[in-house]
Amino acid sequence: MVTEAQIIKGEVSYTLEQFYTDTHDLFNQMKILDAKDKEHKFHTFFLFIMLSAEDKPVEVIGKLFPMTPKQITEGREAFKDQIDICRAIHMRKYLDLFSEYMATTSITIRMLNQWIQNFLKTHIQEEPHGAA
Amino acid sequence: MVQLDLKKLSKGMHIRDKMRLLFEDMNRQAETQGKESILTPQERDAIVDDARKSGEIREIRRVNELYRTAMFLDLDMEIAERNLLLAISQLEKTLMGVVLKGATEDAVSEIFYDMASQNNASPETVEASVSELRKKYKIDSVILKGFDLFNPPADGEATEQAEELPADPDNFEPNPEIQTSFMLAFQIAKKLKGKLYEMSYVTEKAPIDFLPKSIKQLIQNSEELLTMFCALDESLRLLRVFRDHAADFTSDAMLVEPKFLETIQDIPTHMEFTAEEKNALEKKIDDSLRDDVY
Repeated sequence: MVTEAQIIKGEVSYTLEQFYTDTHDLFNQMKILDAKDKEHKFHTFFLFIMLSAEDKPVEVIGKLFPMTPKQITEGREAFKDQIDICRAIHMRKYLDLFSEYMATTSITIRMLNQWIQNFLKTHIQEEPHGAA
Repeated sequence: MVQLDLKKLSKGMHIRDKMRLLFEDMNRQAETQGKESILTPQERDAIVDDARKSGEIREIRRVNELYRTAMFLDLDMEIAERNLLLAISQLEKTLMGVVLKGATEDAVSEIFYDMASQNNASPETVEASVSELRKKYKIDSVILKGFDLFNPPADGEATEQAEELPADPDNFEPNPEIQTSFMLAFQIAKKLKGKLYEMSYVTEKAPIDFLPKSIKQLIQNSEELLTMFCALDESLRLLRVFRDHAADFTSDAMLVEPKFLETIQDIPTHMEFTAEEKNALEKKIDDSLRDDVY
């Protein structure tokens, strides 16, 4: 299992793609009642991890997911390891973009956001009525 | 030390060796402003006389024309190389402004955020306070204008600060100063590449390597400069944002240089000469050799 520090320092290469796959495997190990809706639930779960990794306020996450502030806080605690790893991947990507382009923070963050959006577009296609 | 008698030796000398001696002598004289030479005037005359007698003078004259053309190309190349350095320097000036503004923005934003977020203020309150502080301390004054990679669209629909990119950035315009400076540098770079091509065409026609070290060094420097420019390396790295991520910021902005994005996104391809362009460059050299233009 890789650590946040290893990812941030660039000691190991652990991509968002790998994280997505590993999180998917983890999710599959959980007891999800309705297998039919499983993929949609995983997408919601993955988005929750991603947004938490960005330290989005509880109020913001509460508007996106049908969760109470208590549930959000508990969810963050339960999946703290995944959130930390996801945050480390974002940070590593930020550092890579900064090293490559030497651009300002706002430009670098915009490129990072676009990178995340592109990833989500590829892996979590927009669902007509879902949170994803 | 054995003293060679070149006057006698020239009689049995291969034409290539004669030319090597003659051109090396010319190079040495040029490099030392005539203070040093390899051949004495008598030796030079002896080699030329022998070449004349053995019917080699026509070939030596042909190579001499190539040599003279190379010397003139050297001047053109040096001017193009200096022009490219100047154009890159102009680009660097704007890019340095962007970097300095960015560093200032980052520092000021953090300071203002710390000031505004005291007493557990809500995100909305922090945002409003930061906005007030920016106005109070004139952060968005004219001093820093013109030093962004992307400017708001001319119709004023965007936020007052270029760095605060709106939700739909489609009309964001790459900095016009950067567009103009880059395209100018690109045109000069292509001209320099053309001079390198012409030089290579000339030297390929010559049976010997007659270029002096100074020209070889200039060729090497020019090639390295072009490689750096094409890769947007060193001080030009910031321009890679336009090369790799322009679509994240703009898609249908009006460009002061319509070919800016197209060019910067694939410089090596745009630097390539078409077959027609190559033919034109070769014809220019062939004509100059025939008409003695150079």
